[in-house]
Amino acid sequence: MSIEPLNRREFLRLTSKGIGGLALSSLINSASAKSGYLPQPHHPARAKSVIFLYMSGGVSHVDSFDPKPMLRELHGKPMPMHVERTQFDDVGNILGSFWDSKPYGKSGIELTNLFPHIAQQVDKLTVVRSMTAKFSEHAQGNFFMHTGFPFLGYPSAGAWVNYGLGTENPNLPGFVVLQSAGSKTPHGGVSLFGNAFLPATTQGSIFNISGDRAVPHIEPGMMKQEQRQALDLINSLDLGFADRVAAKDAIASSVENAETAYLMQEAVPELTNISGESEKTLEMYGVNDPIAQMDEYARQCLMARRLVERGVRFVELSCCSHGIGGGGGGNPWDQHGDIQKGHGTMAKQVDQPIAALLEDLDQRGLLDETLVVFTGEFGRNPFSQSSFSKDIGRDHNPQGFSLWMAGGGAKRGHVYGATDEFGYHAVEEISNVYELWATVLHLMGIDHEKLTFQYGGRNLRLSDVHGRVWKDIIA
Amino acid sequence: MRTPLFVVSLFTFGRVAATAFGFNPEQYDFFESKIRPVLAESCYDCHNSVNKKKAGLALDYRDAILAGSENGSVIEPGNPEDSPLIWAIRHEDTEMPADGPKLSDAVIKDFENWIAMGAPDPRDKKPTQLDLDNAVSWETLLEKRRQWWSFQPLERVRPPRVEDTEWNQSPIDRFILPAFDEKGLTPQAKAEPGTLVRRLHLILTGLPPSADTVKRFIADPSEDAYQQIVDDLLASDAFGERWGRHWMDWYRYADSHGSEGDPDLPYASAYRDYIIRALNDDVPYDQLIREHIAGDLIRKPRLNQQLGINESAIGPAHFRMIPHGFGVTDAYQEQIVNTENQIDVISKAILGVTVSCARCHNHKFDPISQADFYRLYGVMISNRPGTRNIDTLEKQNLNKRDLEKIKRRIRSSIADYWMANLDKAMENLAAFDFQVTEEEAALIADLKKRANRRKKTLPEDPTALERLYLKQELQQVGEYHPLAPLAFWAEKSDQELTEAWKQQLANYEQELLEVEAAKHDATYYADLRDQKTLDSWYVEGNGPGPKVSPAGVFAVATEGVRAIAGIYPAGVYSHLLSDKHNGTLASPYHTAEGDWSYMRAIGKNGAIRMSARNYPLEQGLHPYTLANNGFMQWFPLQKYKFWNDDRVHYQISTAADKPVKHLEGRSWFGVTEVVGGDAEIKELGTPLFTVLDNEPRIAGKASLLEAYRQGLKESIVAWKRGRSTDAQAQYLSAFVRYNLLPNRIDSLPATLAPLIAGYRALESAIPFPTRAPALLEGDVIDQPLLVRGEYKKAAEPVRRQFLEVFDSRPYSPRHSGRLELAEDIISSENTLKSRVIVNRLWHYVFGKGIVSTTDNFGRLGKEPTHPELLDYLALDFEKQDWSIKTALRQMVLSRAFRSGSGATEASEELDPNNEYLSYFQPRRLEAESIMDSVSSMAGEDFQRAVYAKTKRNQLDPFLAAFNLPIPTTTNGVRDSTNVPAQALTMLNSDFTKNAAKDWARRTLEERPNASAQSLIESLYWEAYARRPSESEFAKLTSYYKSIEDTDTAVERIAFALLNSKEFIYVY
Repeated sequence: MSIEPLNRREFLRLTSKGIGGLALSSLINSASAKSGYLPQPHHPARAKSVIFLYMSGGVSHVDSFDPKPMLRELHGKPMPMHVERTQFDDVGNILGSFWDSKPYGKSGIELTNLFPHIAQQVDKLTVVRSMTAKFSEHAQGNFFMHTGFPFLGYPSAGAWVNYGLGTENPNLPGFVVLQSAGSKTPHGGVSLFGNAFLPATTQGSIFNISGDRAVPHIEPGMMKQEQRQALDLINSLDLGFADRVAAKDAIASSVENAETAYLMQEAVPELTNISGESEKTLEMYGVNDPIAQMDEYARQCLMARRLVERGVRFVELSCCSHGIGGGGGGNPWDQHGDIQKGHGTMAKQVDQPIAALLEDLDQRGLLDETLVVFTGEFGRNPFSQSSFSKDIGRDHNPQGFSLWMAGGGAKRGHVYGATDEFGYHAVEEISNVYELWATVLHLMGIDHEKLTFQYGGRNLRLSDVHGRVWKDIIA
Repeated sequence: MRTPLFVVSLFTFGRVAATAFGFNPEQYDFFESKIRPVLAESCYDCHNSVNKKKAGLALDYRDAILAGSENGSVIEPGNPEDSPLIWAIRHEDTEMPADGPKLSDAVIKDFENWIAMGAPDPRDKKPTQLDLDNAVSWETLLEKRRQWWSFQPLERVRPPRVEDTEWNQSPIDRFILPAFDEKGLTPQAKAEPGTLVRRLHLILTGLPPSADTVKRFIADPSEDAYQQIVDDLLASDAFGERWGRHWMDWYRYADSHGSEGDPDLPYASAYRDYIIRALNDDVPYDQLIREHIAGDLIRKPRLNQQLGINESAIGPAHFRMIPHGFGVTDAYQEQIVNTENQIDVISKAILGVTVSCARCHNHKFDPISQADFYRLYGVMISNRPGTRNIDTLEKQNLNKRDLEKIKRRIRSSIADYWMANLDKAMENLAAFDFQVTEEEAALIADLKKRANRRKKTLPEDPTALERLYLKQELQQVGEYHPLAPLAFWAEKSDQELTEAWKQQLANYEQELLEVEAAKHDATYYADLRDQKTLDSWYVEGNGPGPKVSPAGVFAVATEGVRAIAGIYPAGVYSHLLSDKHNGTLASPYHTAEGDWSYMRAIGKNGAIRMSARNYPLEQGLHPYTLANNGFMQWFPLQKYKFWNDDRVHYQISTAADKPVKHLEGRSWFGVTEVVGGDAEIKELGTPLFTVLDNEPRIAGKASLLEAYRQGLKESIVAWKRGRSTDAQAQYLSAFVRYNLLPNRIDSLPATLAPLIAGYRALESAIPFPTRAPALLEGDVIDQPLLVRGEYKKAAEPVRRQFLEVFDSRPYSPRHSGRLELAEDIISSENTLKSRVIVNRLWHYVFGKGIVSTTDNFGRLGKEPTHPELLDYLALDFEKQDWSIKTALRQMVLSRAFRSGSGATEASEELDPNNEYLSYFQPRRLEAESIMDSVSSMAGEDFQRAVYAKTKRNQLDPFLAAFNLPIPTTTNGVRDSTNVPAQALTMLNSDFTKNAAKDWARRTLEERPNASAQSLIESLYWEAYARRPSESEFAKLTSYYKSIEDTDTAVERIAFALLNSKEFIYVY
């Protein structure tokens, strides 16, 4: 009962009614999208798109969305309970948060002032405070969070969503990963965004929006007129070839791809050109902020909105590094030392842009159909990492951490689950990544148990053999 | 709407005697034999009344089935057509079973009959969990599932008789032709000669043919000429480069491990080159499989005399190509994942089944039990990841005997020479200035940093350098260094000196007791001065011998100004003849317990580690320590406490054998002891008094020097006689290594100098080892079955053996079982291996396998389109000595292979997937072949894509765009997607642009002053193996003329041809 695209041959038969008769469109890694083929969802969808705000490196939940006054009270004392193995095998004393907390918004959800702008939007959020992961190392954590498995070889959630729903806009890939000059692919590498065994059309396309070449080889290799002529010649050679061999549809479809590629050379720069956005909008997001990383992240947030507006199913954003306390290019939130400065700087980078994105989506009526997810691969420990940089950093904590969702059918101003009073272990509604994706798929109209792909003798799923929907967080 | 049962039964089966429910025993038998097993196997998982009741439906007892689902009743007894259950299993409405293949028509018919009977069902009680677990016994399932075609013995079927003279030449064609008549298909006529040449070249070598080759065949398209081309191509090196790349897909070849940092797997390319050579040499497939599983263990390995290597030993390298996690905190969990990957790859690649599916429970569809998974798991983890010296024994042992002989003479002569220089030694000692200068202190501090972080340059003068190293060593070893009294007590008065001596003696005795107590109380202790201990360890490489070396063993310096490199206490050493020799020495397992552990070692870049669960990589929780010292020392092994309660082992290896971040060049190690436990161990060194027979009276510096002299004299005498104590060896070594005893080559007397020179000459002829990634045998482990795959729920250990569907003899407890596994895999009991390989070959030749799911011959795979042909090919393959080339030759000589690649409308209608091969299947080339085709147009000298490094996180973008997969597991069928990224790459990348430019330039150089027509034709012959058609010619000429200068015009046309689909298609 998997949602399977039509048999490829049938599908091509449907789509290639002769080269001339087809509308040419621009898309990057998607051939099948052309048909406008959309599988039927399992049930009515609440969300059409996902914006995945990935906080690579691991945000400290006890300093942000799950404040714990107990840590300040017991600051400097040893943990009064069994301490799990840590990545750096370097366990210090309890570390009180550097950030003050109080209730925000009408919902009165207690947050710290690490993300003051997002805190103002708290009434749009569902905060899940009982996330857990199985891995306390970045690459495995990243794979786990993206694919449900701790290593490469499995499709990214964005690929699954596109496999399940197809793209709404044949002119753009259905899964876009935004990067900037200051951001790098999280540890684990590009296969975090890969399609693995799913069709290649579902894979994440990386748009590096800092330069004028968001996509590799997007810059034409010759003058436009010359390229047109060459392409016309190539097309006519190909049509002749298609007449001679029993691969007409495949050849025809690849001729279309060449045309698509040709048009993309203009379409992508058009997409990434934000000169039409109002000064007010740019300012709200923080575009052109003097802090380069914040400017870049603001542009990513704005681009995410533009992509969602154009029907892209899944957009993942990438934070930029400030290189503080261990937070390198691939894992900018990873403050083993100097977390005050590191988290402070990182939060400054993303806070205003994300708040603006929520506000902007809401104002445009897009938030209801766009699910925004904010998470890292794990949280951070309530105690310090003793020998790293003067006791003021935190090692990884997969036993309990927070994520939040907004829009797309998630409750507004809601808290789900809880950690213990140290923020160390999740203790109520203990949650995991299978449940996260089961819930995301559910909100998109997909039953996570039915979205399967047969590979290597098994029907594989994003939620593996686990998962349940967080019914309590659905509005 | 439900009719009472008895009414139906009376109505339908009124003529038979009725039971209480109106059913007779035969009807219940029918349920028991036909219905219950299917319900239990295919339905209970999701529809039971104990733990999972999907859609509110349970099918595990009568009342539940009659109660139906949340949507109403599921069976209408007596009326199969109105029963939703029947609709579902027919896939009319929903599709059931949900995650499995459709039930067979016969089973569906049974269900229809059963409902028509009125659904007789004796299951009157709600089952328990235990009932469900035992609903169908594994034996029953195994028996049933082994009936699947691929587990049945191969059938020897004679090829059908065929009259058609074109189609009766090859057995392949005789199996293929009859279906054409049956299906009403007309095969395509033979393809044009030019097309055939191009097809042969691309399929057999992955490269397009030269224009000359094409034209020659067109001039003489005889059968002989065709066969000659086939034979030439099979004999060319390019064959192995093409088919080696296919092979690499099956074993997820990679040069790196992926994940954070994407660390390199050293020597991975040895495996790639091995496969290419093996295919070019047409090594029998059964031999290659034997080598892949246990090539390092087979008694008669394949030796490559030209390269001086043991080819067979490279085979298991693929086991190391695991995508590893980074710096794992849970080593056991990581090991399970790794091992699953190894099992996954060999079971898919060789057997076409997915054994790794059975990690958590018995396979859902195939006759593979959960125990099978753990049987193979035990075989895998009874090995350790490592690096192997793959040189032939002859090369590994080169000059060893001669070196040993010379060494004996060196020992005797140099001992005499030293004895004669005792006074000189004492003078040197008395004159040595132990004061550490500021500069020396800075240098010593710098030396503590990692090699790549050091900022200072060491002195070039050997004497200055020795002085520095001695002072460094004194700081490292401390007060118990034999020369410590001279270095640290220089300021003391005679009386203070006497006191200090006494105090040291007392302290030492006390600390010695503490160390002995620590060893006694240790949770782990290994004394490698004891032969019995060494016998229980694992040794690899040509350096360390099987015997413990006695105290006084020494190494001749193989380079530099010194004659003797060092003299050592009893232990195990890798460099006693040469520090080019390699080695890995590893302990048995133990469970880490306590706060500290240490290895007492010495070496040059000797890579020490404690490994948790064999995790091979080097990161924070998995550190290596490099031994760089001249004096035996306790090296603390970090993270011992962290890994408490886990299974660990100790290991030391030469630096180039480190399984990650290896260092090339000379390296060696020596080890005496390993200890793990709660006590911190103090370095005890070798204080002066440990070499003195009688306790001397030290009354000042003079008597101290006299004691040194006494010790030295006795040490030399004992050494010459081969009777050194450990202390004497270390003591003497200190004098020798720092040239206190004359040890400079240039100062040696005439009797000695030629011996050392002779030694060095022989040593320099020894090559650095050739290495490959490997499995090294370790403790044999029968892995406990993990209940539901959860590693914290271990059940009973499972004996290692092959899959029970084929063989159930357990493997020997003395070895990992790899050798036995290799033999089992290629034995005649195994019905899969030959079918799988010939089908793989067929896939690459014809574009699709006879079984289209090349990696899955199980229930979820596709069934063969030509089962008899498949068995014929498989049996013939074994008969032809498992020759891949012979099998391929037979395939490409078939008439079916030579068909044209057009399809008639009828064949598209009747056989849309061309399963019956009425035409040759045109298809896009694989990524490497596209890249090589483009490169070969640009010029003759280029590196083929197969040699590009496969970094998992950074695949070549060109190859990745054309579907080179990130290697994680077996991939027998490359995707051939069609995405705009490909067009962008071909249109706009420098690679194609430059190739077009080079190709155009070459064409113009070869044809100066040629006409447009001649130039265009030349490009066509090279790209397509044909002449342009008239209309193409017209188009190209007008395009040519529209461009002003000739160079640009030719370049543009070349560019267009590279971008054309015909260029990247084989058809």
